[in-house]
Amino acid sequence: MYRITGTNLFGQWLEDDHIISDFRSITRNCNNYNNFDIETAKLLQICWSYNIFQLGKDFFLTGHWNCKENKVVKVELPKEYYTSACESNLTMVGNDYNIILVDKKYNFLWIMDLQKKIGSRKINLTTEAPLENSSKRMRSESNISKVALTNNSCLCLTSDGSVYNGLLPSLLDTSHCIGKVCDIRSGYEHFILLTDLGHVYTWGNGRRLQLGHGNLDNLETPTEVEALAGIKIIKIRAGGWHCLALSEFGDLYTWGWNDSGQLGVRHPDTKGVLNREGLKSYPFPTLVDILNQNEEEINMNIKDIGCGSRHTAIMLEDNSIWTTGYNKYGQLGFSPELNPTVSYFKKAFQCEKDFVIECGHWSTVLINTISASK
Amino acid sequence: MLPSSEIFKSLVEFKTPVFVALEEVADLDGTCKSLINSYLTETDLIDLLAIVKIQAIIDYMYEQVNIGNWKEVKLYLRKTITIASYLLLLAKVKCTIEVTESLVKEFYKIIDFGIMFGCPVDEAPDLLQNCASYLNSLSLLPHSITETSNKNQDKVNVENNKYNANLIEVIDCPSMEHFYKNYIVAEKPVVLRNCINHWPALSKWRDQNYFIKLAGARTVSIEIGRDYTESEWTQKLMTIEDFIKDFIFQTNGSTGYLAQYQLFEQIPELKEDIIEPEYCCFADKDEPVDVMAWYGPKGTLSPLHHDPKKNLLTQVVGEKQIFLFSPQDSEFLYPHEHELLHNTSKVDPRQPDLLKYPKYKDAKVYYCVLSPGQMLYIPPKWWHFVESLSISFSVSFWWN
Repeated sequence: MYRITGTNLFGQWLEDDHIISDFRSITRNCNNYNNFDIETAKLLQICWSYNIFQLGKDFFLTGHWNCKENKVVKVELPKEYYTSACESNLTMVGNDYNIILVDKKYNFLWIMDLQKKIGSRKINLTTEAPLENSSKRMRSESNISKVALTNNSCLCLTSDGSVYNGLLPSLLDTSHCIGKVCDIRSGYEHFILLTDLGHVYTWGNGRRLQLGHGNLDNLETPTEVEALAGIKIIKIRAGGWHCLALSEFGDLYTWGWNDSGQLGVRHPDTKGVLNREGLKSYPFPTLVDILNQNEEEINMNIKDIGCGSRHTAIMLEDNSIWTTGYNKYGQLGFSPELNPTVSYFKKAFQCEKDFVIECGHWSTVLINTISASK
Repeated sequence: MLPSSEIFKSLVEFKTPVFVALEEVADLDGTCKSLINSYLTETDLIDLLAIVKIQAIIDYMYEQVNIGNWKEVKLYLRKTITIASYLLLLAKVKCTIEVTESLVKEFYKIIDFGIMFGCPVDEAPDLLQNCASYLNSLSLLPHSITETSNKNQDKVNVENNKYNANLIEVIDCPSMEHFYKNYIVAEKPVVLRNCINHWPALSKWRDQNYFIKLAGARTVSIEIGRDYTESEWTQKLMTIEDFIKDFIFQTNGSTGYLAQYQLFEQIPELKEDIIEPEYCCFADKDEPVDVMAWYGPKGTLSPLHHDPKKNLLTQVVGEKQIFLFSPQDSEFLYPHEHELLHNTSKVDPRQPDLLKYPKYKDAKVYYCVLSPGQMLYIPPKWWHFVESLSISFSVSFWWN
């Protein structure tokens, strides 16, 4: 079961309203596609104009497709996947131009162009590599565990904790990272990784302070966010130009661009960079305080986090959802007319138990973990 | 007032070249491309929902053009902003019954956002400017004239030698040959007098109300704070009217500066008040000259820095004091370490801290106070520090 707030501009959530601002429960099954039951389908990715779902061995796109909106389309898979029972080895990611079918067992990427809609290019990650350096090729004894795709980048995490960069995989040097890499996330132009020992590393473009090292420098190699050293981090997320890190004690740290209030930080005295909108962007991880309507601090642990391109959503231990940042498309769960942006975390919704947060660019989705595991 | 359907009819007439310009954004993703294509093909389809969707394209493209360095942003993304802004304007006009004052202001905001974050499409380079000129011609907005005009324009007492510097030579309207040989080739700064006496701007721009009347509702980007090396420095989008009222007439708050701004591309009507100096023809490349506006109250400040291009800094309104240093003296000027500020010096030549920057004493200081009607030639790479001594409007011409 899904509860969604945010953009439904292209009918990607099968609802009639184009902007949803109330954590609406999505129950509608798609009549013109009798195979597709959104309640049991597994959400794989929220792209800007469509969603990707998996249902059994089939993959579906909902939303914009082939110049039309409100579509539910079954993706045609390469022939070799017609018969074999390989659903658990397959996953799919997408951006505004391509979708990629990921074969985790054999380490293939099938790249399909959304506009040509037919044919696909197969990349075997274990045999292909940048010509100039075959030592950066993917090792055949490991398997793909995650692919993070944006319009401008593709990162691959494998079961042995290696990170590969680019569609033709090129091993990223993470040998200096303390612990085994267990998660990777991509912003619009920056990247963040987490190790199983709780250390956080960032790289990419730092011009909007999104790397958290206190400056505007760009970095080519993953570099530890030193302000978080000594704090065990258990979850990371990357927004368009900001980052989130959740500690084992349920504390949230945010940093980067704060043009819409996506950092949710209320520290008037902390050194930051003032922006056009009168808010400060923070160059170092900054601890977030959650205050209620009466400006009293809430002493509850944060248990889940998510962020879109310019907004942030968190879940407290009482399952309440708090959001901050850009809300023009209802992604915070508030009326966009009344609150086009929100500068500090505000309680947006009281959720039931057993939900997790997943955000799209301009949406926040709550996913029921019990029905999803069916 | 003109009915909105008439305005729509006139704006739709700009459509044909925009349609051809869709080829220039062929690399756009399928969703945005098909939406733009369908609304442009059938303007009858434009409804209230179209406003939401076109606005979403603009908002999404705004995110896309904020990725990476501004100068390297792919042109098709910025061109999409231009085309979508035109469509949004069409949609807003079409879906309205009564054209109110606030709606007209919104039209200009759409146009200016498109000009600032978009870029011209080859097929219709002045698309949004033409839309604005058309709206101007309808005189839809009342003008509020402010009485405080020309206040604060006290006569500046120019004390030319208070810094004990070398005064920059002042010459009267030199011949092209003389200027080329002795200043461009010799890379020597000079103040030119009586070269722009024919500019209409010299008289028109003395009254700040002129800008409010001509372009008060237009949005521009204003730099706020003492100077760009300060941490509290920021930029803000505001209308020209608000800028003049809050920062030119009011001078007790923070400093606001319309600095290094391509005002003449955004508002071509203002370009008619100035004439590109002929001296700019001594160019190495066949590139257009960058014409920038610098408009602000007393006390705006550009810290000591250098630029790669030749510069004719033209003073139209008010006075500015300028310190210059030769590139050969760079070692005495202590540039900032960070790569983003390496062309900016840490020294304030008005009160140099010789304990912190002892080598500065060996730098040769050149100085002038630029008055209305004068132009300063700054050769490439020459360090310059500029401070306004009154309400000031300057126009710089940069070329290679």
